Amino acid sequence: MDKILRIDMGADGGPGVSTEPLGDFAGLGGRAMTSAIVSKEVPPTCHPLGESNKLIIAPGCLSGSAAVMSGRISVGCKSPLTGGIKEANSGGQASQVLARLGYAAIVLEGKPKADALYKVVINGDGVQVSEDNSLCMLGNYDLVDKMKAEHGEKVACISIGQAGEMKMSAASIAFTDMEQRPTRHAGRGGVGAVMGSKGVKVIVVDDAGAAKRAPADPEKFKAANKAFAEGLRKHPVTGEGLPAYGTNVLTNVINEAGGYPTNNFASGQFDGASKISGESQAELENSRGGEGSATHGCHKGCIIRCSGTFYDKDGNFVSKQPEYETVWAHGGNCGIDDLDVIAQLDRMDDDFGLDTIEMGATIGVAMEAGLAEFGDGEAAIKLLKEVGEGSPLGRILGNGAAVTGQAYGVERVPVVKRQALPAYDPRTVQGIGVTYATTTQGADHTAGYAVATNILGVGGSVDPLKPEGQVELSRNLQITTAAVDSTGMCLFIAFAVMDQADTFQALLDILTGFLGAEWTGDDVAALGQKVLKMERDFNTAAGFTNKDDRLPEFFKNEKLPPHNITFGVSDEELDEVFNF
Amino acid sequence: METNGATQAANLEISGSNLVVSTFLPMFGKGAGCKIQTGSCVRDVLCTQLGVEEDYLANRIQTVFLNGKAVDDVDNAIVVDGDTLALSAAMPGLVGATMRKGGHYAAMRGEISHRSDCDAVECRTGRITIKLFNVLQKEIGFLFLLQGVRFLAKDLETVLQNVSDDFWEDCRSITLDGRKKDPRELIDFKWAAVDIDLSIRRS
Repeated sequence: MDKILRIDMGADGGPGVSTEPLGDFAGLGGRAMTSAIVSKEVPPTCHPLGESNKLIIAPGCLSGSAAVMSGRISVGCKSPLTGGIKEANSGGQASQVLARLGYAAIVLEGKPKADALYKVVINGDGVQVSEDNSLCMLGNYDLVDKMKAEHGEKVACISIGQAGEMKMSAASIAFTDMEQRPTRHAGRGGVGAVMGSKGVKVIVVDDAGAAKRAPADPEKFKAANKAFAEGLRKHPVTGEGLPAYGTNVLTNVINEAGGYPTNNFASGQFDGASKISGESQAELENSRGGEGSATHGCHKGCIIRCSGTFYDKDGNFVSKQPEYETVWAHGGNCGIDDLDVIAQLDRMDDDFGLDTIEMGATIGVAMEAGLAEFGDGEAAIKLLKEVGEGSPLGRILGNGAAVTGQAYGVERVPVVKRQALPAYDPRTVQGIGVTYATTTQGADHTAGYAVATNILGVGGSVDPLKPEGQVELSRNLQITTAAVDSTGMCLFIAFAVMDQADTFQALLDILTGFLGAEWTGDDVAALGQKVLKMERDFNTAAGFTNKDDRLPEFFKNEKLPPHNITFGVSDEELDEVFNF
Repeated sequence: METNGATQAANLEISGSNLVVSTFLPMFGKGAGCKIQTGSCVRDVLCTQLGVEEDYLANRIQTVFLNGKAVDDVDNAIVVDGDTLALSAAMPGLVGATMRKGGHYAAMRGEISHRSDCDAVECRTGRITIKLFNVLQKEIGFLFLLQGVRFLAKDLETVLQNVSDDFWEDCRSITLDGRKKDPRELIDFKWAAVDIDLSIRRS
């Protein structure tokens, strides 16, 4: 990956394409790349849907190589949802394909002068940008079918649905999977709205004739990659739990802990949890059968295979296997305990191009407002249809939980920096509440993942049984996660890396073998700190203060059943997180 | 539809193949009643009384909840009558990692950590609810089924209404409150009892 592709959508005479060397961005990938470009080139106070914002799409620094699990891709911009910096990442095929074509980033900038919709085609021959208004208001599924007919079955697509075209703040960007379905999404923060504001409906990427990226030290890389894969396969989470049950294996456990947000965060336990758990989901999918039913990868090179394929009772494809956050958002959070309804909502989100977490949280707020009853699956489907159709109500819902709460006068609105909270109640697991409150991204469960801080020793050692450790742990986790997000590695490698020192070493050896320079734990921590500092500085310049690093008031005031606890981490402690 | 006429817990014994055993394993997700000597620690209940191997508890059972509180020390968490003990293998996600017993991230869920209770507790026969999640259902669920567990009749009814023909063919014998039954009589059986004490024999 030795070049950056820039497409100026506002250039005189129509979109202008240029390619440039990496320059100041050499050595960066994924989140490090997106945040570095946003931080350097986007005015922090600009309008997120205006010409000064930029949308950056960047493969991880290992993407396109033979490294297992290296197919994540990052999307960055100033977020229309939070107003701050955003990095949302996704699986799918595009990361590997773009990297093999040599692109470290695509930068969409400017704004079309006319109200037109464009298709971008990137292949070994170059880049073509063409106006194609026949794509207007197509859902992602129909759009990809059309691209398949025009460009063949092997291309990868990066696209927006109706929500992105309508510039809704919950709009996602879809990435096609191995079956060329638009099931993988950079979901959070409204990145799809920014792509919509650039007038780009779809980017078609074709790596025909391109070779895998070659490592600097092939022998070291090959040996490390093998050891790393073995480490993932032997670990009980990555080798057994995730392949068998997917991420939804968490439902029963989080519910048992009383941390499963139910009926718009009114309770921590859901009566219908076992019906929508990963165990029940796997049983249902296995009984219905079909290709890739309960165990399936989201991109080539994935060996954990935590995903799956959801078919209806007649064997028709509905969606990819809804993952934990989606099952929670459209399930327990809305009082819905029917996996078929949840899968249908997931399909609609993917087709319209919407973040499932934001939409589930939004429908929960709408139910609280009285627009539907908790538990009414058909009503939830109807509300989501309004979003795809762009009705006045749909326009409100499609702009997320904060806007919906504001429009309907709801007090219990679970957002931080206007982004909806994911599937863990911060009153029960207060450490993740610290991350929700303070991350640069708005409430985000992946911003501070369980990434081997114990092995890295980032920030020193923390007594695991000492309650005061929450702030320090959150800080360390946010630093290391920012680094992993830059490699293109799936975050689920975290468990094997965390528990098995030899697997962690194998990861460092992969980086060293591929990039040619020695990588140590200190380098990983330094990269993470650098990324976080850039993001934090951007947000400060955009007007964020420590007052934005807070959970909504109801978490401090409303006791959460069954443990009847409130969020107890003080504001002063929260302000300590970014002291590094 | 036939009813068994009982008002207390009915006693159901099923003898059958591994398929028969595995049919009931998902029910551990909601929980199954187990008779134990209460007033003992988690380790004693699981390993000494219920037959879970020590190594399995140490390495495979990574997450233990006692009444919804995450247990870090299985020797100092005392189980009393009416408790719910939930067990899971290692879980993904940061929050999954925080729930591990004695794990590096346990501080992040300090508010729901189980605190050791030093008060003396009377040891007596009692009943607790055991929940098994994910791979543990398949790996140790049979241990409990062989010893006998209590399920809600309505939950058992739902399971039996949805089993395949293979299940009925693999049932060697069924005894309900001491009387032999034709297995297929249970398909639409209307249970009068609220609870069913189920024990399985492999044959």
